[in-house]
Amino acid sequence: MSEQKVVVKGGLVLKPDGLFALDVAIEGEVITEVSEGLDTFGSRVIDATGCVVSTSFYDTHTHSRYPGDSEAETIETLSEQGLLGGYQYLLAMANTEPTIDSVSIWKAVREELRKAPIEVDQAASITIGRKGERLVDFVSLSEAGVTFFTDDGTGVGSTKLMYEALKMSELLGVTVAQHAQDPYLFEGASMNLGATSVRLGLIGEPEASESTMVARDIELLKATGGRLHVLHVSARESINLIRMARNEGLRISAEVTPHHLLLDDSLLSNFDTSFKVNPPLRSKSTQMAIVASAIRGDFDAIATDHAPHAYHSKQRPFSQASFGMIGLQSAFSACWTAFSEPPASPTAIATDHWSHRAASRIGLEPYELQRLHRLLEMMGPGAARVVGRRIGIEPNAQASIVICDPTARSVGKIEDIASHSTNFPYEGRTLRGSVVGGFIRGKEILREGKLWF
Amino acid sequence: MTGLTSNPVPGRRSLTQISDLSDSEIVDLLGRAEIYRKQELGTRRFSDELKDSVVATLFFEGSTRTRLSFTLAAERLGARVIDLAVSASSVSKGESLKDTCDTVSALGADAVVVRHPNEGAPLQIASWTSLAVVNAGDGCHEHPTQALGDLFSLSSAFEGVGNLAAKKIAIVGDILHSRVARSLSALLGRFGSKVVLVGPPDMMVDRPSALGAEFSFDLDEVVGEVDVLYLLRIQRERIQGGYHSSIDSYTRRFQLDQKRYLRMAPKSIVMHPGPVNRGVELAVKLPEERSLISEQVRNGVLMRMAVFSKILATASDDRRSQRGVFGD
Repeated sequence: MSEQKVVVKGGLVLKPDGLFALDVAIEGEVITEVSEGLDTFGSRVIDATGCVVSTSFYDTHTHSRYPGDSEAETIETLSEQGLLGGYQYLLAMANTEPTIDSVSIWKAVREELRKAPIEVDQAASITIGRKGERLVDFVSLSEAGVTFFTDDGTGVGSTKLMYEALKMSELLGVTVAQHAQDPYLFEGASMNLGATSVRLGLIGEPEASESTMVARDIELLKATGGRLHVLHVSARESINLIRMARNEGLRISAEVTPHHLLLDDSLLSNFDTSFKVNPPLRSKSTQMAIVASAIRGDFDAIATDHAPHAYHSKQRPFSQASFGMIGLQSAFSACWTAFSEPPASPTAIATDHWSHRAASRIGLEPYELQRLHRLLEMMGPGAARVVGRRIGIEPNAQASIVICDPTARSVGKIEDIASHSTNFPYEGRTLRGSVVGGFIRGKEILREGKLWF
Repeated sequence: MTGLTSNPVPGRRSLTQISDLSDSEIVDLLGRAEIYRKQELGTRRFSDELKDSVVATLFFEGSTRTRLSFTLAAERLGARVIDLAVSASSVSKGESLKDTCDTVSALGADAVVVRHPNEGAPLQIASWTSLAVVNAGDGCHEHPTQALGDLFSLSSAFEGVGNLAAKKIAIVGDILHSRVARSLSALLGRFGSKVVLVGPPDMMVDRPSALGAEFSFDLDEVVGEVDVLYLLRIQRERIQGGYHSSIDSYTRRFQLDQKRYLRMAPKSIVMHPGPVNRGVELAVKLPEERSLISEQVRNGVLMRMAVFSKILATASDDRRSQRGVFGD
């Protein structure tokens, strides 16, 4: 921790209602001042000119592969990617070997994860062994401290079990997160159902596989109360259903992944297993609709669904290769690249003179500044709210910030990614924006895009 | 030859799907096959065109006819053929496909002919290794040499590939699971033919337009207006439990029987990739001039010779040029 006062100067700072030209003073572990033109006398100055200063990112969806698959990832490599990606918090899914489905396993794993240089929280499964047959002991797990339950990797197919789980959620105040996917419609599928799957002769999964389960879960939520989080939304109809449920006042949240924002199923044309992921990459038109929804504010959080796999589990025939791609370290760049693609909407909110000036300070158009604000909201405060945390850049708040350069460009290279795995979907792709600096609880973590501690 | 899938080693080319080929490459292959036919290489004589080449056959799925056709094609041109008996079990054990192919590569084969139950496997091998790969059928994806051989048969029957532009070709059967249908529609579409996919709804692909084709659930609707009726082999096990509960109900609507045959246009022809399920998809004795079925088998060998010639000639040129560079 730096004893000397630090002033982050010249950047645009994330506030709930926009990005503003402010300076941020850090003393010890906390932010002491956020205002214009801070006095820097006697302080270390971090020059954030041309950059945005955001809260550190929260990932509501990470596969740590601990325990069970250290060939794919270790806690060290995971932490390194997280920190390089601007994250301070990762929520590890429960589909490990063994499944995190009991208090003893959860406690043992959490103990190990505590040693990581980044906060890694651990979810528990909804059903024993994620088999969809019997609920885990929600009461004991909740007492032990579990707040997030998910069978991620598989949907809870049984309507009755999901009903029971949501009742538990209501009773105990915990979150139930659904990997929405109908087991029957998904059977045998290795990609999205569409023109590409027809040409490749592969079994495709229709978007309705997801949206039908989202619709069912919303009905169950109405019947039971509770808090439902919809993981990695990939279908257009799911978005509409979630929006309606939210408008009705139901406690529902939803996340979207960088890869569903940036990639589409035409990339599978050469059977490249790096692009095999579940839920699958959808059609170009769905991808564009997801980006538009994200910009409009239909999602609470960006979630990476970072899913490392040992190289040999991807070097198999397409239908037998593992699902998943890594994306923790590249999340901001991938999302910002996706957000940069749609042209300005003619109905975009008219911007004032001030926004023009703020935008031009970092080389963006005013509409881009609005999008960047939306993105940072989803990666930081929005994602934190999903796991029950409240964060922001304000006096007395924890000094966990990330500094991003939105106009930097880089080409995705697996050599630059700290993972043991190589299932990286952005190889050779030009990405916009990079994470350049960061502090966690007042400690400098990143400098010039490199780890610094 | 730029359209063929480029491999890391220059000169090694692969044929994994129809889109690997440019139009001019397809015309070139037809030309080579025609030359071999005239030289009677496909039937009576052998050449030493590829005498220093080794072709490995790697069949992860059983097939006698296709393997024989490839083997004969390579041997007619003087290449050595080695067969790697890959048991189906090594696949189900989850052995890495790449490991298997690295072995073949290390053995020094110039080209590998791959039949695999999983879609895309030949293409993956071509991208993971320096092997020149010829796809001999991959799951429900493609069977490009079958389609190219069929194109050669059609081009001969209609006196030139240029005449295929105005022709209407119906492909009948289990379209959903057919690699022949996929390769054939991709190939015929290039030459302007109108392709109609015909089969029951549960055997139809979700988006026929993605294959550049029209579709029909009713054979009787199209049988009278096609120039070519291409029947696919029906897998009995795929019939049960599907849209049609029995072979009977399938044959009632999609079998080429006497009645339907008589409704076909006078000079229209019938094709089938073989082996024919007599009494299922076909239940009529066709006069020789109306059937290309035997011709397809002969032409399949000639076309596979053309493919080897094109792929391996480049490979051995490459070897020669390497000798030139490095001396002896």
